[in-house]
Amino acid sequence: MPATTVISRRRLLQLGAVTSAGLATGCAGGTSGDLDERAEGQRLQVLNWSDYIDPTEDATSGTVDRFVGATGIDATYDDTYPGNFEALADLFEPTLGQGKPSGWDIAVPTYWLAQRMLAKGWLERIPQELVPNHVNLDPAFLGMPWDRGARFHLPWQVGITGIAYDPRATGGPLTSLADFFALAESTPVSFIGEMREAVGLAMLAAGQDPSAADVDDANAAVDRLEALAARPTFGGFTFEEFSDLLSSGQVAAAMAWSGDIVQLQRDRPDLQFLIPGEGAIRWFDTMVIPAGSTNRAAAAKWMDWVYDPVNAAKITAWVQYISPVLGVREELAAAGGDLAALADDPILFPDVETEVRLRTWGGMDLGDEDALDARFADVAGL
Amino acid sequence: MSAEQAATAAPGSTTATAATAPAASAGRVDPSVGSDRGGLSARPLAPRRATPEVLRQWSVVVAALCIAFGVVGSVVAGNTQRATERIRDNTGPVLVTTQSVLASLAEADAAAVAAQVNPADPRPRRAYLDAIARTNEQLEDVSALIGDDPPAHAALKDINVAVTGYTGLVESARTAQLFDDATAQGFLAQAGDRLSGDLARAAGRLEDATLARLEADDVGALGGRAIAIALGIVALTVLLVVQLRLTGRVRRLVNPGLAVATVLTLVALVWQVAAISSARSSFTQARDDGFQSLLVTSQVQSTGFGALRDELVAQRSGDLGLRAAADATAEQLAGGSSTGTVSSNDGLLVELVATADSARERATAVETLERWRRYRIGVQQVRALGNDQTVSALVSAFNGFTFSVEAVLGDNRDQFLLGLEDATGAVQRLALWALILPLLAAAAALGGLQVRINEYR
Repeated sequence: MPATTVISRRRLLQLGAVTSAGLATGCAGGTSGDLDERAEGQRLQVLNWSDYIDPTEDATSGTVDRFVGATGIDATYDDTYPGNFEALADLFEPTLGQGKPSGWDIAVPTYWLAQRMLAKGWLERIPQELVPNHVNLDPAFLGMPWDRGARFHLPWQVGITGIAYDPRATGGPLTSLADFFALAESTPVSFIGEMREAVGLAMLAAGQDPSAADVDDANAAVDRLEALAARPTFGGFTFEEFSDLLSSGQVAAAMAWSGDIVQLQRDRPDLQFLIPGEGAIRWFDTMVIPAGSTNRAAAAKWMDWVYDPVNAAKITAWVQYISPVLGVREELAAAGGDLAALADDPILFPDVETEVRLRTWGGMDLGDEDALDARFADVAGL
Repeated sequence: MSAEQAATAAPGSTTATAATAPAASAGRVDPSVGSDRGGLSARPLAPRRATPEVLRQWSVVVAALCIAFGVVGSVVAGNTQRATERIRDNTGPVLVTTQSVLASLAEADAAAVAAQVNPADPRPRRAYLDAIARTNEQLEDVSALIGDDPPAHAALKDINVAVTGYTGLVESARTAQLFDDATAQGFLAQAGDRLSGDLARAAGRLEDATLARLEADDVGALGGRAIAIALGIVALTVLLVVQLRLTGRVRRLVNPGLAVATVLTLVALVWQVAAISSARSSFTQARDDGFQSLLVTSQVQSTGFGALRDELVAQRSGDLGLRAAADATAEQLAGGSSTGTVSSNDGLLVELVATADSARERATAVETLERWRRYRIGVQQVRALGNDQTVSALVSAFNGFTFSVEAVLGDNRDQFLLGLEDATGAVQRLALWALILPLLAAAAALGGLQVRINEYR
């Protein structure tokens, strides 16, 4: 769920030489040579969300072109991922659901869809022997209960859904979800259109843990959102449009994605992004290899490439979401200038105190979750 | 007598008259009558048993052998199938889950200590509660799987008692921490002792009981196999002998019924030998590769948790002895270097890398080793700075290590259970076909011989 990034703000990294990736590099052992050869003959098809990677522009090669140049693998990068529900219904069910290949070697669904795809047997195991940079995955993402050790998925980018606000419109700083929901009683605010994030924030406001979501608590949270959405001042359920609503002053505060706000703050440094005291929702989009991919070696090469901290730092500098790759912060700091400033950005690199307040949605029975999705879509008018 | 019968009349019988004798006399020889060979006096023929009678006797012997082979083979195959299914459905999963219980408890213990060292961070407490909940689920699974096995039930009961005692001590430590840190540390130390004492012993007994059952199932799977194979060989040999004798008597290349019987018996014999050998091979591979790797990996995980526990308690208490113990445990994992770098060819993690069966396994093992190295770097930072932030970073680095270990454990578990599945698959439906094929062989042999007998009428 990336931001729609404004092109004029895009900056490209001039990072220095590759720093050590430690034991990670070159550890695949003697068999990797054969697999390398196989990868070179393959044609890689990547499907990702829009504006989620640094492009080639101003005579500077983007990640895709640098990958092709470095590996010789013919890669097609398609940035038309239609959204999770649409991808499930239009891309994956008709192919993977029928036991046919999807045509993609890598897709980047949000974590909860990846979990479902794995449960349905729609994912290939990552050929970890070809991804020595797997060791650079932040341990926080290794322990997903549905894929311990990240054997079937590799996170692409990580975001936080918190509260963005204009202090002038809110009449002062917000410090909590309680403040935000109190504001929503009388002031235009917008809620995010993703069930797990909007409901998760409402649960956190009620002192509940969305990482072990209870269906009754979740429905109570939907009730609360529904009641607030019925108010005449309500600004609506949005996806990335919250940026426009905030910057134009149509809403005073919004449930918002961290990466979009980091982008927006370039033009509107007065806008604030709050990770409330009660907590915020952490989500991530994650690379998977759909079942039946015939180019798994090439897909593994791609994963390995983007998990090199040098390459990952270039992606982070452009998309400005949290990177799941260890070493990115050091790469940005070493680059100096604006990039070094990014290394100190608390939204991109949350400190421990912030980390402990982040929750990732989980724990609910899939049938209950489907019902909750349907109810939320009804409430949100999606 | 048909032309064929005439042409194939057995040598040594009344050959001179066979061509013209009535069919009813075919094969019957009057020893008092010599053959007329151009007026030469004939040598009297030795008295011999009538061929149909011999053929009937052969029929009985062949059919009896085939049926015996079928019955014994079927029983043996059934036993093998039941034993492999029991290993697949009960014994194997109990062994795997028992290892998981130990790992979950070690994880809970390290998390409990981390929660006490850094109470401001709620994550270790959550990790502790998750690990205890997982432990209880695993114990329920084991209880449901072990069936009628008194020693295993007794050990399981002791584990449950010890877990209850352990969690009580952890909660006592948590409560005491609000008032008196020293008392809290005392409770936590007792909890650790409970883990390494009563719990470890009871878990060891459960593992021993389950391994004994595995051994018994394995032996049970082999019972009677030699008898079945011997019967098969005898039946096959007799069929071949009969076929040869018959061929010699009637100058026909093969008796179709006997030929079919021979092929069916051969197929049944080869199938049994191959299926049982394949099941044995899969089982042995599962046990020697999958389960042994599982044991090593579980040991790696438990040892790692122990090292983290010692390190955190040392951090809290300043106990240099515990710190030395943490270093010693680290050496068990990754050799002599204090940072865990592989400086010598020893240590469980190095063994894990060395014994990896595939490039993928090696890659995950190497990642585990690297993540352990990072954890040990974190240890040095905690010792140098000792603030909450470095402790959180240390626990995070350790999580990287232990989740990597879990990935390896998952592979080991899959390999073990897949091997058991293969073993079961190899003998599936064998019991049925081990009976049907020899019975068909018996019928074919009887039919083939009966056709020959009928030719004498």
